[in-house]
Amino acid sequence: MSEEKNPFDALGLDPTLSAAELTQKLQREAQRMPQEEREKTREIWRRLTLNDVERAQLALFAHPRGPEASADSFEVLRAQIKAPSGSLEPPPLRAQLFDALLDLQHEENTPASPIPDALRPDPGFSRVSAEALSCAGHDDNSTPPSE
Amino acid sequence: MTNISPKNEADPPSSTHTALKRGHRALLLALRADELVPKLINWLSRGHFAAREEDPRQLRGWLKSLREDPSWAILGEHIDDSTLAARQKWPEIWRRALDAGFSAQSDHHHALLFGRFAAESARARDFELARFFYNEALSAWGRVLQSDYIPAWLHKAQITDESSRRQLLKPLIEPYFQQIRAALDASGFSPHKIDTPQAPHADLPLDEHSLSYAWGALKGLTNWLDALIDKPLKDGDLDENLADILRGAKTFYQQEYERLVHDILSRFGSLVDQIDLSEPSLRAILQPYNWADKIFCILPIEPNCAAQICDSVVDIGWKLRKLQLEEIESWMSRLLGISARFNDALEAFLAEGLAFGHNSTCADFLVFQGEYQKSKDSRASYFERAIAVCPGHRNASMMLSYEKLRELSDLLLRLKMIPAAITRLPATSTRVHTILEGARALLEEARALYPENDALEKYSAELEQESARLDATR
Repeated sequence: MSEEKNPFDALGLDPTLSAAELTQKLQREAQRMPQEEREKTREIWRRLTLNDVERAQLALFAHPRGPEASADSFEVLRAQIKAPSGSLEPPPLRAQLFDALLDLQHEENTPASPIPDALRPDPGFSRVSAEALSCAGHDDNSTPPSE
Repeated sequence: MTNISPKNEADPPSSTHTALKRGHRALLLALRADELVPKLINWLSRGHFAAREEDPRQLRGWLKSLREDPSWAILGEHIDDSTLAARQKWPEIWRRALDAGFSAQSDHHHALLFGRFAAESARARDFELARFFYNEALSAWGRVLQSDYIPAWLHKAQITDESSRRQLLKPLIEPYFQQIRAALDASGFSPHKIDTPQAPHADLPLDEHSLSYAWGALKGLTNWLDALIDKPLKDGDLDENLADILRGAKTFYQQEYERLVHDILSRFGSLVDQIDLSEPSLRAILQPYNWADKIFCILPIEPNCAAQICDSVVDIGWKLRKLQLEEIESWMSRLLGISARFNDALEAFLAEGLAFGHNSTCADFLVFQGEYQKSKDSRASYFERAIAVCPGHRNASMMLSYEKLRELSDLLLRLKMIPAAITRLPATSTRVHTILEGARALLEEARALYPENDALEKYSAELEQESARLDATR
């Protein structure tokens, strides 16, 4: 008995796709194919969509396939887990008031713009901020000013 | 250094995160399949087949499904063990895995894989192995069909029309009919060759092993279909979709079988038509019957087959007798010998009411058989069977009538050797009386069977003469 390749298996298609879904999927795939392969794909499309009886038979006698069990190559699978550009970039750093107030403890870090004494936060605030930083695990070398 | 905490943004979008996780899982599955699918294929095929190049990609779904099954605890434990001891334990491991349970989706894969192994084994002409895998495939299909998997699958695949459901199992059946036709094809069976003349003296080639395997597979399939149709599902009713699928398969099988038998008989008829009796040759005469005999040693004899073959034997038999060949006796013996099974089957079909209108043919065949028997008891038994099949059959009645007279003749010979005087002894007188009664009974039977028997008067007169000589009373 000759063994003809089942088109669902040959193309790695989910056999439970409806005729409409198969049309969409094969159209997308055909766009990426050279002309010769497009003709073959067109033939397969006709077989699978124009004759419901044949589609049903081919579907039952093709290996079931789920969404995570596609027959894609390793290259395609690896490309799918590559982070899309911009989507996982760390959010832009934007200094906030709190950041500025924390920074005031480290006078050595702000040599270029000394802040007048009248604008410095009171020592109580500095103590609180130091405690918060130590809780966050920062390596805070500065010692809170004594009250 | 400026400590700048990042803006308290929300987590990355959940759909992207999900897609990434899915992608990771797909890649991980692919990597696992690359390693494990070849081992699983080797195990499942009992070491007879290696995985194909595309199997690790195409069977990722199988691995995923298997790893979620309870049976994976058993299979996974042994999968890396390729020792001989492990291979020998594989039937037991498979049985334990079956007991532990496979999902219907896993069994769907198994059904397809076992079917593939069966086909590959048959192509390699290892029919015993093919039979084993075929039975495993049917078992797997049975588990699939008896679960809730198929109705859900049909719904998901949007297969809603009855016609599709009824023809769904056609790919399970059709290849075996194709294989039968291929097995017959060597003897010119193809539709375009049915009328092609064959060399009259050659035995027609037939791939009997392949035919036997394919027919065995189909017989197993019909038993399997019947068992599924008769066995209700747990709720007591056969699911409507499943009923369509199974009954459709049965109908398709029946149609294909009838078509096959019709084509076989057409070919047989064509071969018989090619027999040239102007230059009769025993080999040429026997050719179609040898061919049919080989086929119907494997396929069952249906009533129409038996009737057609017996009709042709009887027809050829009458034509050969007209030719008045010297070798008629040996030729008829050979022809009747090779085709006797068909007439025995026809006789049984007639008795069971499965065949009609062929009683005369069957009786003619039996009369032919009787004529060439050596012993009188054998001859008489064939003629009696012929009359039982076709009451009032002229030739059978005539032949049996002559057999009765032959038996009567033997009795008369014994009577003639008895001296009249000895009948005065009481014991002898009783014996003579009994013999004479028997002789008279035979004469009456012969007369009843065939009143036109021209030997009746002669034997009647002889019997009267002996009766008078021995002074016996009626």
